[in-house]
Amino acid sequence: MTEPKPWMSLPDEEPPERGLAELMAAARMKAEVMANPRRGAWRRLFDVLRRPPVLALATIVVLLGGVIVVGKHPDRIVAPSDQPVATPPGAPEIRSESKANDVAPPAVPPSVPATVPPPRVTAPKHLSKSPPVMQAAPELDSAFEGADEAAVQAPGQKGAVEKGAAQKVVADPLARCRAAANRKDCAGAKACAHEVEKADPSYYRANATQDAALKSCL
Amino acid sequence: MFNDTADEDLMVMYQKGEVRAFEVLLSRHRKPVYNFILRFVGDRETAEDLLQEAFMRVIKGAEAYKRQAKFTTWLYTIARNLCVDQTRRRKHRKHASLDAPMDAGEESGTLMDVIPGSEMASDRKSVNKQLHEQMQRAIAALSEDQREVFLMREFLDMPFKQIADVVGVPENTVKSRMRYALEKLRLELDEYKDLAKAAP
Repeated sequence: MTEPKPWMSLPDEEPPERGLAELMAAARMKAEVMANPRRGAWRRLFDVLRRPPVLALATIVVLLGGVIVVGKHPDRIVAPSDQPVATPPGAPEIRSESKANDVAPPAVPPSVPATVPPPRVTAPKHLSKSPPVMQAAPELDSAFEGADEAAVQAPGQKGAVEKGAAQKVVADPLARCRAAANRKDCAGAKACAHEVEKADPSYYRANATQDAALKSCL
Repeated sequence: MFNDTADEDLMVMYQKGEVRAFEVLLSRHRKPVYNFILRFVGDRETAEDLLQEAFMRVIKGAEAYKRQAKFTTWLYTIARNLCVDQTRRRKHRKHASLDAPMDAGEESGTLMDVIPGSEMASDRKSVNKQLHEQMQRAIAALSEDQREVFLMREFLDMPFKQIADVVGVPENTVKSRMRYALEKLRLELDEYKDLAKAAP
């Protein structure tokens, strides 16, 4: 049997109507806000950016930007790997020659000629008849010589040096012999003259025997 | 239309912008919440203010409400917190006297007048008034912890588990507080036992 609960006889009171209208007005305002929730700023920005006109504009801006950047720095464009590395503007002939003959790049570092054996050069007109050992490509030789000299000269003088080197190719065999004779190195001069004679006897006879400096050694 | 709908569903509907759902919630819970607050603080005017504030907080926090939570637990947690804050503020000012006028106005009654009388014969009315006064006095004499548990359990018929959720203490603590509250009330009202039996 449950005990009587005297407090249960306490009657409930009706709440006053005061403030009810305010409460409902606030509830209505809040309901409107909740029914139309505001999207976040980032979400709205993202939605705007996804619209087709904005995307088209962005594409145009990117393309124009790319054109401007490439136009400002055309020299930075990397050449294909089979092409020679771009040389300084002072050596245009070497560049064209090497392109035409598909030879090694002309901008050889200064240390390379030192390791290369002394060139065995002959007159260009007999290249086809000469034995393979003697067929040193004049372009290569000139390139090496040009590079050798260019290593100690300023880039602006490089063109002139290479022009002189091209002329030197023709007179080179005897010039070397003559230089050796001038140094009183008759053994070297003889060896050199022997090589020239072996390669082109007629040229040897026409030039070497007439040379005053060489005559003393021969 | 919404009369049979659960509180939680009504709250979800209100979250979707249905003001009528909130109206139903208000009409359902306004009276019990008001009486809970009134019995807690013992002051009609303060109870009105706190009732208004409690439902304002429900409106403000409606977006954050989750369907999993029981609506009444949420609502009475708000109401209870407001009552606790209010009684603490009042404690700092002064201790309210049960017999002192509730406010400065001439028409204001004492705390004992909070309990309304019904149309009865004058002798019965007198007995009831006496009983109600004593009960109100006994309830007010309970500690704050015991009073809130007692009010929720006896007047709102809340399960202990839900009271524990509202108050924020373990269920066993709630039961313990309830037991102490009942013992205290029985002692206080022992001499009125016969009076209570005579009351309608």
